[in-house]
Amino acid sequence: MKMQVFALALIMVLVLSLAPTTTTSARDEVTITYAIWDNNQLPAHEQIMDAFMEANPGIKVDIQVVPWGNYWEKLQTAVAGGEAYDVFWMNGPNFPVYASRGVLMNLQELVDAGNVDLSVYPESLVNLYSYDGSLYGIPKDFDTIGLYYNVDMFDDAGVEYPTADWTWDDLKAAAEKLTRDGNWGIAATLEDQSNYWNLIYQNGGQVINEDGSAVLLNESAACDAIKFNYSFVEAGYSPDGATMSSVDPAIQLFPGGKVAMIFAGSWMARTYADAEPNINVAPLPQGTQRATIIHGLANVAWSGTKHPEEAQALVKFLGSEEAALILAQSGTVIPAYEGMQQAWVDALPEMNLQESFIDALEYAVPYPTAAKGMEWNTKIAEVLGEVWAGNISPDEMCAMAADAANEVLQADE
Amino acid sequence: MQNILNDPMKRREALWGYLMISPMVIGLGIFFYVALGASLGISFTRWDLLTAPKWVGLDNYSYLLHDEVFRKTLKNTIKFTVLNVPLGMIVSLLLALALNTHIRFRNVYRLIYFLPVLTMPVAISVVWKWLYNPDFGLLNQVLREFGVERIRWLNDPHYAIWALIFMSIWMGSGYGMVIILAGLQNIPREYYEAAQMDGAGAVNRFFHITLPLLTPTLFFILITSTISSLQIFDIVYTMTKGGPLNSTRTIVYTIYDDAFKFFRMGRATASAWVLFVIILGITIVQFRTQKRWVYYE
Amino acid sequence: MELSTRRSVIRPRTIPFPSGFKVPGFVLRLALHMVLIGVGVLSLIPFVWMVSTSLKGAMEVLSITPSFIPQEWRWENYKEAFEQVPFGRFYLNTLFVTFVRVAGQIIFAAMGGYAFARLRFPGRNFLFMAVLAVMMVPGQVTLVPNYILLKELHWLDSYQGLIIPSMFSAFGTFLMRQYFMSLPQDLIDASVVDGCNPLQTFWHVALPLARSTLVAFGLLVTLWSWSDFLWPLIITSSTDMQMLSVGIAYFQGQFISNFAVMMAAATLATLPLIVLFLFAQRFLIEGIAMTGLKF
Repeated sequence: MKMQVFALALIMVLVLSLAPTTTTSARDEVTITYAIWDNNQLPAHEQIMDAFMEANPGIKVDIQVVPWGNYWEKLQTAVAGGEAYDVFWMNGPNFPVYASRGVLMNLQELVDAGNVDLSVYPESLVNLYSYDGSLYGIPKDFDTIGLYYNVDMFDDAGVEYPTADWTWDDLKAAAEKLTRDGNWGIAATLEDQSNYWNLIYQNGGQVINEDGSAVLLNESAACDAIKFNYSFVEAGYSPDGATMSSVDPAIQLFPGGKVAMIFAGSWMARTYADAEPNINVAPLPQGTQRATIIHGLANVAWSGTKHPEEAQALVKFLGSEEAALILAQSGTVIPAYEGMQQAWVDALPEMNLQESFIDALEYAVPYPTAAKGMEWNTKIAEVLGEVWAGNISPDEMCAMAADAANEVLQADE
Repeated sequence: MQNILNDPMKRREALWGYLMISPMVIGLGIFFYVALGASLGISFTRWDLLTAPKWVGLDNYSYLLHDEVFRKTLKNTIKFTVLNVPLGMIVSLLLALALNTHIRFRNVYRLIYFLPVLTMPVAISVVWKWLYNPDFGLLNQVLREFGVERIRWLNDPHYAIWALIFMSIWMGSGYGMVIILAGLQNIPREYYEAAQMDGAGAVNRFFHITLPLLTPTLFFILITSTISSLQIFDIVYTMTKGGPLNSTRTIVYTIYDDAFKFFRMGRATASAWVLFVIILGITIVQFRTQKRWVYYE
Repeated sequence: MELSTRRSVIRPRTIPFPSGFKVPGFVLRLALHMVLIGVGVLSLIPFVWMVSTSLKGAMEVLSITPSFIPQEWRWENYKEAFEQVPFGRFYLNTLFVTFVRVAGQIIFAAMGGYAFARLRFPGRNFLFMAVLAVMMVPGQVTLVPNYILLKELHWLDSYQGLIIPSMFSAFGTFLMRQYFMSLPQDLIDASVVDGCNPLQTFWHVALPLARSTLVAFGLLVTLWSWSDFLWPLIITSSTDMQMLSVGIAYFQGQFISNFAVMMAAATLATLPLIVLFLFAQRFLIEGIAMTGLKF
């Protein structure tokens, strides 16, 4: 009898003694959490946290890397569960959803009190993270899109490297010549931000209308751009959707030397610089006009945090020049802080970053967003995915994609 | 009832009974029955977890009833189950019969066939995606030798569900094999000896002794694997995300998508209840018809 | 003392192991081996590829027609698995959570199963049917409410949250009841005569006899708990609380160099189960055979 009581008690004690790890230690040290999704930026952020903790004794920051694939799910469940991160990354399309529901801490008082100087950040990013006249996120970084290419494959095929003067025709011609020996000239991916959205704006089209209430993919300029992207798959210059869905073009095929060119964001520069093939980058080719999508992340604080002051201090520090410099020197992303671009460009001198990403700011187009989250875009991706895999004819794709997305946008909540 | 309460011996036994079942009954009561009731309630609301739930009555159910994609989802789920369960059982049965012999290395074979059960689905599906890749996957490379043209396994609506079924049989047949092996050991040897004396051949013995006496085990596998096939989720999540053209979208994948991607808790729990009713219905039918073929000693 | 001698006298009906039939004829045996080897190869390919990839260099992983044998054996991938994410912590979490879940499921299921099989009390059949019915409830139905319940209890992102809702197994109760039904009544009567209460009879007489079944059930629970994915994915949010399955998802498809490392992690995550199975496979079949899995 004693035995089993003891065994049961042991288990119960074992279980119950493991209270949640709320590590408010005996001293007045406060631990706050900071959620990010890019593992590549972890080392830089650890450095930033060391600097922050040194400047703010008594605050300990716990960085949580939540991978991109799970980030938004996890964030939403954590918010609903009342256990969200104190400070975390936010992107443009998700910002209105969270700001409108009161999940984010209003940072306007920091600005009004003169603690945060907004003039050091690009205005477009400040506007992106403002809601109802108040600031909710402090810009962290920005990114534009460029054309990365495998130098060795260009040399082998005897093709001139891409330049800022390239047009769509040049891209097509090069892709054709580079498709040889079982390799492909380009990966015409279905990435929106880093691929076909750029083509749409280059062709004078639009993804979504001004107030974000209707998708405009079935207008001819936008539709022709998508068809241009598909033409690479059709001609066999690019792997098709079936291949690209199991072997990621951006992180496997291109750096693995199976594909000679790819459109990708400035945040990939560090990764490609470290990859084995010799990779460089050029500005995107131009259609009827020049365009590249600009987007940027922000650091936000959770409105339900138990440590609002500490969270504010962290958000503020993350937006500081000191933090931006550490980030820039890591070569991972371009800090939003004014004048930090040069430090980022200098971090990877072997790549043509200045022309491809910084000079591109002149013709950059903001990331298209709708008021209602991301589902509309998921619908478009579903339709285009079927086209790329060969299950739907490209003739009807623009109308189908637009209809599917508009149905979501027009549905009443 | 009266008797039990009056007889101290019986009353004592009853008290012990309640005591011993109480952890299980309380645990299941809270985490299943209370939760089940709550989920029924949620299914009558529209709720994104962030803002307050809104009562919408039967809206979620009528949406599902009229939604073409959901109807296709139901069809896929049933199709997967109807194909996966018998095929998986046949493979398990054949493996178990082969290993129930005195053949050499049978322990090695058994371990090898059970190995897929031991691997983590999240990790092994990456490998399977590579095997199924149309351009450089091993499967198409082998088929090419036989002159078969490029097949887009996971991206062709005609093949995708078969690709998942094949993978599912790979992952699950070792499990069924072990249960059948156990069932085979419970068949008394005397039956075989008697049959042999009567001059019954191997085929005869299989159909007149082994198979009938194995039916209770097969019935058990039928029930449990039907239930788990109807709940198929993880390989859909990791391999196809429900595509192509929704040809592998299953009910649980839809539940997950609705609940934790689009945060439509009401619709998600409504779908879950539809699944529950289907499982209940099929299981009852299976139990009703078992008399016709299941042979209990 | 008395009890333990009695225990050793009455052994469960022993099942001859290994049993089986002779395959007649050399040709037939050879053919059977061919088929078994063929199926074995099919069974092994994905697994072998996982292990071989885990030893390849970052570049070789990306070669389009990879060979099964790595060009250079890169054992550092295993070291990197521990360096890139707190893999050791994930490992400990998984071990701990699985251990307590298994212990809980075994004790509660055995105790409940015994009572349902051997004790008479009003409402027994009804309650047992209620337990059985749980086997038909898809876990997805209760996912959302349980999440909310954990939130109210402040158990999100904690060991309690990972463990306690997963300690109650309807299947286990059913399994153990099946086994205990087959125990001879004299055995139980004898211990009652010795003055044991039902809990004592259960603990000293029935439970030791059920060892094989308990091990088999424990193995099945371990298998399930070890790769349990959706629940930890939803309720944990800090890195320190992750289990291996979710931790492995952390590697997945994110960055170039991590593919081989991820396979190293996957291999490491599978290893304990293989070792466990090697030691316990005898019990698995024996235990299931003794219960006779049938309705």
